[in-house]
Amino acid sequence: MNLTLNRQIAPPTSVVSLPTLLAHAHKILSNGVELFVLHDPKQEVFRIDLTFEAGVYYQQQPLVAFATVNMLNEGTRKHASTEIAEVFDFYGAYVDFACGKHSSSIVLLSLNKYASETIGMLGEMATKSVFPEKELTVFLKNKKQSFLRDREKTAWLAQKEFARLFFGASHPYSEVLTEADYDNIDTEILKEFYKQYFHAENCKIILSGNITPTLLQTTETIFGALRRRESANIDLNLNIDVNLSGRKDTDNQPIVGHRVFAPSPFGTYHVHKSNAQQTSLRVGTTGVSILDKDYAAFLLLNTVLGGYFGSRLMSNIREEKGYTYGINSFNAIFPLSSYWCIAADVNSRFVEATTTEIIKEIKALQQTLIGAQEFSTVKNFLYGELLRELDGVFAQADALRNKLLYGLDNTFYASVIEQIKHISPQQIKELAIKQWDIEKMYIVSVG
Amino acid sequence: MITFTKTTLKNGLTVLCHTDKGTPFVCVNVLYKVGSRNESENRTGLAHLFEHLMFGGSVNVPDYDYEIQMAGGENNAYTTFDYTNYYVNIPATNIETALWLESDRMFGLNLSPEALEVQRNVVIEEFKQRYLNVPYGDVWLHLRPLAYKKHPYAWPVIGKTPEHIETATLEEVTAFYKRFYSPTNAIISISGNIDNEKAFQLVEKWFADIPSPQQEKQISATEPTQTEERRTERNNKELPADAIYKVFHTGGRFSDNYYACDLISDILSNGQSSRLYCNLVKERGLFSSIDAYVTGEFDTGLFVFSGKISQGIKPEIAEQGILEEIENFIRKPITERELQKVINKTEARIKYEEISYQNKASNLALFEALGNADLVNHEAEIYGKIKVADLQETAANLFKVDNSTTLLYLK
Repeated sequence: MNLTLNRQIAPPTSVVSLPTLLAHAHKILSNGVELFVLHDPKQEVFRIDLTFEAGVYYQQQPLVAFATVNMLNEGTRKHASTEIAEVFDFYGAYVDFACGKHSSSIVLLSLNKYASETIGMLGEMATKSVFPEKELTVFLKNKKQSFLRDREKTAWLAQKEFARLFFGASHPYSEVLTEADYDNIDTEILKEFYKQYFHAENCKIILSGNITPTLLQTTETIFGALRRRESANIDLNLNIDVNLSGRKDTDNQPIVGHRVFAPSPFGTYHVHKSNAQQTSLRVGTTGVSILDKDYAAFLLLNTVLGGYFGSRLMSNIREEKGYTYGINSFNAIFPLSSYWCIAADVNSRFVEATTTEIIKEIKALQQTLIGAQEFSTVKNFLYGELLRELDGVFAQADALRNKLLYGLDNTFYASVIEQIKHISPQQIKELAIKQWDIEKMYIVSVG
Repeated sequence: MITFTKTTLKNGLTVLCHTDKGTPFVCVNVLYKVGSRNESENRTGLAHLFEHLMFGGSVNVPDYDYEIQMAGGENNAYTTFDYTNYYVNIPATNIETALWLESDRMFGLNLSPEALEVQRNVVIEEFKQRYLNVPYGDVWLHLRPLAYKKHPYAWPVIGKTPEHIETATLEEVTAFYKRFYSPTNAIISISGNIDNEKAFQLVEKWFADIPSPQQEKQISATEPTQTEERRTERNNKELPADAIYKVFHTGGRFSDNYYACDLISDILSNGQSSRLYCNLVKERGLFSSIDAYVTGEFDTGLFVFSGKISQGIKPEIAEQGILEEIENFIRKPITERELQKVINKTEARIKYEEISYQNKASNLALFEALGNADLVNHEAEIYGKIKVADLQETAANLFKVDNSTTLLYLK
């Protein structure tokens, strides 16, 4: 028996350390491709994040950006889709595609010993994709079916409805989809989009993991050969909207028709879904951009309300009332417009009760100063969270990819942490008043 | 390769530690050898409900999460058929906070009627969110009881029905805790920025005085060999598409049979060059998506085919497509390249998993629960020894119609 152990006394804790950033090298290849290198010799694997300024924002109709990036492994001038898949599978590599609001990315994770084979194929996809008819037909048919599945999910419907209300139905940010959209895509549309947006000046590469000189050389050779933009075909309107650092240039900005934000009036909206076992609830309004001076304070404020397990929404609505399995709030940031939203799937009998409690919690933050103990818990939790976001070479590559969208890099974290240290309860209360007005919110329920 | 050291405290608690100086964090992972397999068929979902109650505060700690967050940590837990796993990722300098909290809830829990009432509701909402309110979410509620006749794997971890959770009593959860949450029934594994001696010393400090009561050994029922084909259908006009789930019994997680089945499932469906994807999705268009995988329960698992049938394709035709692939697998030779491909993939997967200190902690604990943590470092070798002939023989025995259970979802 350990007589000296007193379980009632918490062991002392020390302040969470600051993240240590791996030094990253940055260079611009001869054709304009921007390359960032994060090297960690302890790894046996490496990753390439290939990002093109080719997200949904640039498309003229739904699904174009998504289909283009996801079809990159469906055939090149040299290899059929099965041959491409065979290469990645044989060498145990993973390739993931993601289509964002402004950028699309291809991520390759591979063992170092097979680097030349896997990077070679990645380069081919980026430069020589042909979007074969037959593959596209299968792709669209299967994606249509998964769309029909999604449409049966209340949480998916609620997310889409919120985006439609917030951005406007015709804005590409909300990408309102119908079954017919899957029939209106053809290979010519994808080839055109590929030609217009998948070129060197639109491309950023992050190379992370164990980056040997040979690997670096291979990457430079392959992507240094990425073709430049064809000057004849530039969509001028688009290139004025956002420059590549993602910063908005709002002066004299001509905006193409369907890219105008057209939000619906604030208020309560319900979408009926028969036989739903729960109601998906979304409550939200304008968010705070990563470039806004209030970003760090809002990160803190949002965390208090619904950004971690011990948040006020979780404590009240899950842990005290048991209305839901989970409720959280988040700030969804995009280059041209950001929203903030609370999300939960709730017991359908308690939709109103949940909404009432949400409003109560928002008002409490506007009326009462946050207590010292809760405030320091949230700050400590966030220091840990930010340290986790930068833990390891691949986490740092993820973080960097996101920051580059806004012309930032990972040194951004140090300034956020520094700001958080000095934010006072008074500032949090003022920000809650400034950001949140119950009358100016969308309350969406699907069920 | 995960280098680790292991020790056992006097009270029976097994301790494992792996040092990884590449992170400022440590993961403190506590695995209890209790899962839904330990439930009675009249009170299913109890192991998972209990996992929720583990966060309701312990004898000396009113609020578990508060302490973790205060120390810059994050934590979560999950329940499986065979075990329940809790983990904390915390800055290495604050490891004692995690050990204090984990030891205190192993030492004694605050089980109140109020906490039970709330967590029953939370779990019922989880039941709806994950199993009832999504298309095909209820598959295992229908398929498991058909595939398993005796073994407690006959119900999903969430339970057979929300009623079992609604009516669970304080006496039942208290008895559950006493029976299963003791040092002899637990494994603690630590991975991250800490030296082994230091970790052992701290675990000794916080856990050594927790008594371990004598426990009767619980033996789960043995599942008798299936000897007839089993089928069922669910008809629902609101389904987005027809779907098929077809399962076959495999050996337990540690058997040679499991490893062979895992490679068979890789050849069939891992990656876009796999057979099912190339033949049934791309070539013949029978399915919009199809997957084959093994579930890996400790005693006896399932080899699962799950496919969403393409619009306009008759379910019989789609099912026939799967059967033909099975037939081909048994009859036509697997090429050496095909085998090499899935072995390469497996080796790579193991390497990728070892990037994360948290994965390493949970894998060490899992393999120790299976019988020997050291095996975590021999899996690649086991896969590497499998020959083409082994796969064909395994497949021939596995894919027998009398060993199959099929669920069709029809719109």
